[in-house]
Amino acid sequence: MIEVIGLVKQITDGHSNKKILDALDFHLKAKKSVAISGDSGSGKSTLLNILAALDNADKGVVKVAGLTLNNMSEVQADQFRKKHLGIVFQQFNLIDCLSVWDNITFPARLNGLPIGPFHNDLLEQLGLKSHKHKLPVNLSGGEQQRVAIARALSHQPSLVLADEPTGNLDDNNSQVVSELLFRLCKQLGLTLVVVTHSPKVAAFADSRLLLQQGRLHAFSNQPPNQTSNLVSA
Amino acid sequence: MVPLLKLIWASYQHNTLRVVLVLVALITACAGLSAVLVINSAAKNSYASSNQPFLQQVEQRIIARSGHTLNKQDFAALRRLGFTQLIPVLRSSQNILHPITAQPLRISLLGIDSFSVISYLASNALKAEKNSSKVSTEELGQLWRPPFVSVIHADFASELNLSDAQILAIENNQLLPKLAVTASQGLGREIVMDIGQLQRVLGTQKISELMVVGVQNDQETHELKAALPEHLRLENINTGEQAQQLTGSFHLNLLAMACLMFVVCMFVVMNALHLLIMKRWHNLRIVRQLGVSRKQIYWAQGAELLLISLFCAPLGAIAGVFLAQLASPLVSLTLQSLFDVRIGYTQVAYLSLMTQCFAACILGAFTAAILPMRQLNTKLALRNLSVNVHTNHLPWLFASIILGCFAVGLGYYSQNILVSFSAIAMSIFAGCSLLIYALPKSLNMLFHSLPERWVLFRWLAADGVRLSQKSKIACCAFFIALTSNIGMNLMVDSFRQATQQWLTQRLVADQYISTQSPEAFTQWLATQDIDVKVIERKGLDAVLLNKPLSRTKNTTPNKTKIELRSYPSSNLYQEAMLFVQQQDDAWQRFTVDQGVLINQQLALRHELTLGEELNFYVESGQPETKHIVGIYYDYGNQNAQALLALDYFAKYKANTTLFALHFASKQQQSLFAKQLESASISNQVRSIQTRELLALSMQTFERTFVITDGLNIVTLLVAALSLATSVLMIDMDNRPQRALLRSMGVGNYQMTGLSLIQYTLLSLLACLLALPFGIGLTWLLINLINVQAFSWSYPLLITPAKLLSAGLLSVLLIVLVVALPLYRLSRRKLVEDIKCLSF
Repeated sequence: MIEVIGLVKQITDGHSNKKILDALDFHLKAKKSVAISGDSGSGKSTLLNILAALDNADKGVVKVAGLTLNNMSEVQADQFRKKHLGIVFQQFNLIDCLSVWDNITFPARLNGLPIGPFHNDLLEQLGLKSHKHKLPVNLSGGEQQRVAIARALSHQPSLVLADEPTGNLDDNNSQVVSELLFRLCKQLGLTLVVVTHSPKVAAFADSRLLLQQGRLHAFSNQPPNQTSNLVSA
Repeated sequence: MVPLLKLIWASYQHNTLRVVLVLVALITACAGLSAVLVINSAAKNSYASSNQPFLQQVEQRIIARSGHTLNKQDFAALRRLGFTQLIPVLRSSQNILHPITAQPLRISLLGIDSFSVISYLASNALKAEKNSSKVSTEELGQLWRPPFVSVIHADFASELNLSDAQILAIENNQLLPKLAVTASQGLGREIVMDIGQLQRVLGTQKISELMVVGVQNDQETHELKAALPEHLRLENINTGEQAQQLTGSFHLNLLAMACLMFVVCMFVVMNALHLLIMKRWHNLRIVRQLGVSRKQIYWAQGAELLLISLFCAPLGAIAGVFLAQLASPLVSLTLQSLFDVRIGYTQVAYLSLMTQCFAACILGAFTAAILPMRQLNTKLALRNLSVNVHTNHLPWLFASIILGCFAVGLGYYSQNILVSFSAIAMSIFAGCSLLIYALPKSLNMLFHSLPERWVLFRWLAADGVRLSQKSKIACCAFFIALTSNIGMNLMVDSFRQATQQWLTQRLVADQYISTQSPEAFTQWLATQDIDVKVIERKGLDAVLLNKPLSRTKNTTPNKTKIELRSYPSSNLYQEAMLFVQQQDDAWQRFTVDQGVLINQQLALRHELTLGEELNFYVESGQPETKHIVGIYYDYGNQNAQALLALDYFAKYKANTTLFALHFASKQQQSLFAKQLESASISNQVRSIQTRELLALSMQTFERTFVITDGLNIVTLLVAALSLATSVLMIDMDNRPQRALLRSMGVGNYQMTGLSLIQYTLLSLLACLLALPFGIGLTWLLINLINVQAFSWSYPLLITPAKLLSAGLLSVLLIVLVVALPLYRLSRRKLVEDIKCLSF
């Protein structure tokens, strides 16, 4: 599903170049989830940007859902995001002028997909049925993040990227939201990449990666052979 | 304070565009205002001294009656009788060949008896005058003694590209005395020389008029009248006060347009200040955390505005003077053709002008800063600002209704132009309030009416509600500019059509002749074998005896004086008459001298209605009474006028004012023109064909509105600029939403297109609302302002095509101006935008 080979991303700091991602290699099989952890400035967000085709790699190859992101034009990148990607942000980032229902169905409608039982079911599973016609401003943080999850899944993308999805939530809500995110992705057969500092959230993932000095290191509570089946770094 | 100012100064380096916007808006506002102040003040100075070149306080003149001439002997005789206040003047309009370009130029030449002026200046009479002359006797001496000079004002010389010591030749190859360029006050758009020199050049001994210098009391006027020989008459000319009254509405109109431009500029300042403050509020909050009080921050912001005003006011004032110099020939010609008022060049009092500009600038800037400062206050209070999409807009609707009611009330009871302008301002503000109420409501309705599958358009409408709240100031600026644009366009268009229709209907003759020697013309015509019907138009002044009005509504200097004119009673002329109101048997009664027709000016000024009696007397006659049987349109006439049937006019000893010629055929008309050209009386008559007269009238008409149109377009541009700055301001808030949609795969150009559609939608909604308000504004301008200023009105003609084009052109302008910042935004890298989503 995700194939990253020799990925290098550097930034220019005055006269010197600093490598954010240094010859990074990793593979993630379809329908699996991975949690990526790392210190601040370790390159987690840069990696997500590149996986979301929001930024370009300086060197290396990045393939998602069989598409090579390196040589994509802006229009192709837009199409890729529209069709293949669902994103869950730390700050929820809902469209504040649209209702919960409009927010959730937005990506599906954008892709011209029919709105039907799947979306109602999603609404129900996320416990948002009673909030269907409310505006985001009238929801709590946990509810807003659940709407964001529903939105990220509504067009059943190939890949879901989540950036600190519980970063703005309390422990109880974190637990609920993480459980929902991982369960629904598994249920729908979607590949999930979660960037998180929280071990509790990471524990839901099929595998865990640690980003250090621009390189990924695999670590998991699961047996090594099982991890390597899912992800290799 | 100093560290804070340093912080503000440092923030400029990252906000150059916003600072430039503030500066440009303030300079533009000051430039427009100061240009109008300079034009108005030049005119006011000119009127105040009621001066002619080298002469002040000229309110009367002696001219020859029709068919007679005024000459040196007449002047000498009057001087011998002790009338030393008379100054002989000769006026002539001549073609000269430009010494450099060799192009012919039509220039007014003014010959003045400089010896008489000097002797008058030296007399005790002048010393007693309160308004003592500031005329330089040295310049007068130059006119009088060899080597003679022709004096021209520096600005006029510069406009014509003429310079000092040049010698000009007129058509008969005679040379004028060499030019002396001066900045003397009172000089206008003419070349002045000694009367002897002008008589030599023109080969004549004639005098056009004898100017009566100084304020004359009734006794002196009576004595002078009594001393005049039969062939001369004394007449009043437009005094300074009269000129000021006549042109008051014109100057007020200019000032109103400049104020409108100033207000719209302040909207730009407001938006730009908002942008600046939003950019720096983060740093200011840190400064607050470091212990700087809010008060200190406000003082620093105030000091910044003061410094900006100090920088902008002088620049704006200088730009305004430059603009005024560009516009002054046009203004001068307009005033001359509209009101027969002459304005001379005056020197600009820079200090006073800059002080006025600075005062306006600082007042405007501080007023514009109120809203941004309020927002800063909220932010500095560390309160969270959340966008409430369900803001209650009902108060705006109530405000609109209340303002509208006030506007109607003020308009209904308005007694003067200032109150009427206040009514107009209030109605426009009512429109603004309604716009603020209607924009989110309409967009909300649009959102709910769109099918759910049109997801981006639904977002566009829903986001537009939020956008309308953030851009309401800019939308109001656009609304004001658009309303005034539609209002002015419609007014000018209605006036143009009404004038054209009226002129076409009234000018029924093929040709018109005006002459000072009517007898000579009729004698000459009798000897020609031309098939033509001649209709003499006679006229004289009469004094109205109707009871004066308690309330004054007009600007006429002498309300009791009316023009009495003859009018033919034939069917042709009956059809040519355009009535406001008439009795059923109006024409029958008019033709048998049982009724009089009066113009709209007379009816409105004296509140005369059909069926009432008009009581008047002419200079040598008994009081007369006539029934008013019709009220007719008489556009452009400043005077109250009454028409009597031509057949019954013979009893008055009236002058012939005009000959209307009706030719049997076009060939006869050509023959007449040919024979007149070679006739000896050709230089005594002015002949003009109807179509030329029509063209000339329309040319004067267009010239009148060109300045207003110019200011109007600038206002619209400034409003567009205001909306463009608003786009930049809103973008800061809108970045997360844009980035979010982009992250979902909405393309860059799609996003830019959506934003453009959003602004077009806002402009279209503002335009839709501006249409009825624009029409209302036109109605007020025609039926309130025009009636109060000139005592006449005309029908309001609504041309849908004109309305549509004015609206669409304005929206197109907005779209073009807004497209620039949107294009700039679309160039930004997505990865930069996405940072605001904490991705």
